[in-house]
Amino acid sequence: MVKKNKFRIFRDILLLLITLVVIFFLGSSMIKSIISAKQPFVKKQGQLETDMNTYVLKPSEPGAVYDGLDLDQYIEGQYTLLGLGMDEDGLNTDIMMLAVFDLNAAKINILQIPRDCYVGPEYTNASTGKINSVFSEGSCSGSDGINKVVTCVRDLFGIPIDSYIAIKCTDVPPVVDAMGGIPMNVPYNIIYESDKILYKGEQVLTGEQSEWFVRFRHDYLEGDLARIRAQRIFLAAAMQKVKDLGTIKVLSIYSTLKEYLMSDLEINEIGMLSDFAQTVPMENVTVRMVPGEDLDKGEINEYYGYTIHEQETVDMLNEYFRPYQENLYAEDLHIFEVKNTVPYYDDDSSNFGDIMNGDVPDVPFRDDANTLD
Amino acid sequence: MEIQEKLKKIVKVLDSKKAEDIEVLGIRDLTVLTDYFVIANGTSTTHTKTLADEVEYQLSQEGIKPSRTEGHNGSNWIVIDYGDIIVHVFYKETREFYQLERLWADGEHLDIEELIK
Repeated sequence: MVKKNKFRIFRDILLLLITLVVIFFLGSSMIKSIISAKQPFVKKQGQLETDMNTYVLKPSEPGAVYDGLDLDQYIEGQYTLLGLGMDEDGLNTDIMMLAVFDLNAAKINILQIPRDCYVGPEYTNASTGKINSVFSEGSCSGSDGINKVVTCVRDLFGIPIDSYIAIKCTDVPPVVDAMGGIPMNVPYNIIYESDKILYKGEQVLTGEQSEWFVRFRHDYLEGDLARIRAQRIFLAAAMQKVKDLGTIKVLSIYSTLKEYLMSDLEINEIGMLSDFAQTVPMENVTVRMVPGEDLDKGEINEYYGYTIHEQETVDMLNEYFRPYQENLYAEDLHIFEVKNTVPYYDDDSSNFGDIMNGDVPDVPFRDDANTLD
Repeated sequence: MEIQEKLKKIVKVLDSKKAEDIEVLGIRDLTVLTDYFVIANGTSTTHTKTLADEVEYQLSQEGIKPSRTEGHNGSNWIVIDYGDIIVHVFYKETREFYQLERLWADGEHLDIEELIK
C-alpha cells in the first residue's frame, strides 16, 4: 500500500509538472501571439518631445518659404519623417531612413542610415555600439525608445525630425496586402528560403513576398549595404503605389492599418503628406546612403560594423537634406569617425524615376549564393 | 441636404443602375476621415464607371458637388468624396481584392432596404 501511495504522489507531481510546463508554454506563446497580433508596440511609444534646438535658417524673403500646408513642423517648407523598420521583437531598428520633404520645391530626399553605423557609448549601452540598438538600449536623452533614436539621428545629421513612422518587419505583409500589393520589377531571382522564391520580372508583390524582398540579405556579397540598395527599389515601387491609389484611398486603407504602425502622425497629417506626394514627380525623389565604410572586427570593438565618414556626410547633408537650413560644419555634428580609408562607399544616388525605369545598379551576389540552377 | 437624405439619394442612384452589393458603413466613431462609406460594385469596368458618373450627376442636380474624386481614369476603384460621405465604387474583382468592408468590420452596417424605401 505504501508503495502504491508513493507512486501516486510521484504520478501526481509529474502530472502537475507536465501541466505547469504545458500551461507555461501555451500561455507564453499565446501571450506572445496576442501581443504581436493585436498590439505591436503602438501603446508603448508616444509623441516626440519638443525639440529645443534652434536651427539656423538661410535668409529668405518673408513668406517665401510658406508651403501652404497646415503641418506642425519645425522649419517652414521642410518636413522630416523618420522611418523605422524594426526586427520581429520590436527592439532593433534594422531599417532606418530620414525622408526630408521639400514642400516648396516638390522634392523628397531620403537618407538611408545603415543599421550598423557605429555611434558608441554616447548613444547606446549595447556592446555593439550600433545605431540600431539605440531604440532599446539608448544612453542618450529621450523619455522612450523613439525619442532616443530621434535625439541620436538629430545629433548625427543636424535635421529636426517632425514625425516618425515605424513598423515591425513581421507586420509588413498585412500592410502591403491591405494596400492591394506592390507592383514591382524584381531585378534578379531571390531565393529567400528553398520554398520562398521570387522570380525576376514584373509582378505584383504580395505582403509576404514584400517581406522576403526587403529582408533578403544572406546571398548578397555586400550584405546589409546591398539590402539597402534593394530597399530603394521597394520604396520607389511603394511610393508609385501610393501615388496611383490617391489620398482618399490611402486614407480609407490607412485608418485600419494604424494597429500595425507606431507613429505620431494623425490621419489629417497623413492626408496632407499623401497629397504632397501626389504632386512630386518620381524623378524628384532621390535616395542616398550615409557615406562611410565597413568596420572589421577589432577596429572599434569585437563586432563588424560601419563607420560614418564625417566630412562626406556633412557635404551631402548641406547639399541635399537641409534646403532651408544654413550650412553646417563637421564640428556641429556628433559623428564618431572610426576610420576613413576609402572614398565614398556609395557615391551614386538614385532617383525613383530611374529606379522605376529599371535603371538600378548591379548588386553582386556571393560566390556561394543559392541559385536556381 | 441632410446627411441621411444624401445617403438615401446615393444608395437609390446606385440601386437604380443595378449596382451590386451596396453597403453603407457608419464609421464616424472610428475615424475622422468621414462619417459614412458607401461601397458598391459594378460587373464590368464600364458599369463601374457608369455607376460613379451617375452618382456624381444626380447629386450635382441637387447642387451637391464632391470635394474630390479619384480613379476616374480607367481605374477599377472610383472614389467620390462628399466630405461626410465617401462613395467607393469598385469593379467586382477589385472589390474582393481590397475587401474594404473587412478593414472596416467594426463599422455600423446600415440597412439598405430601409434607405431605398
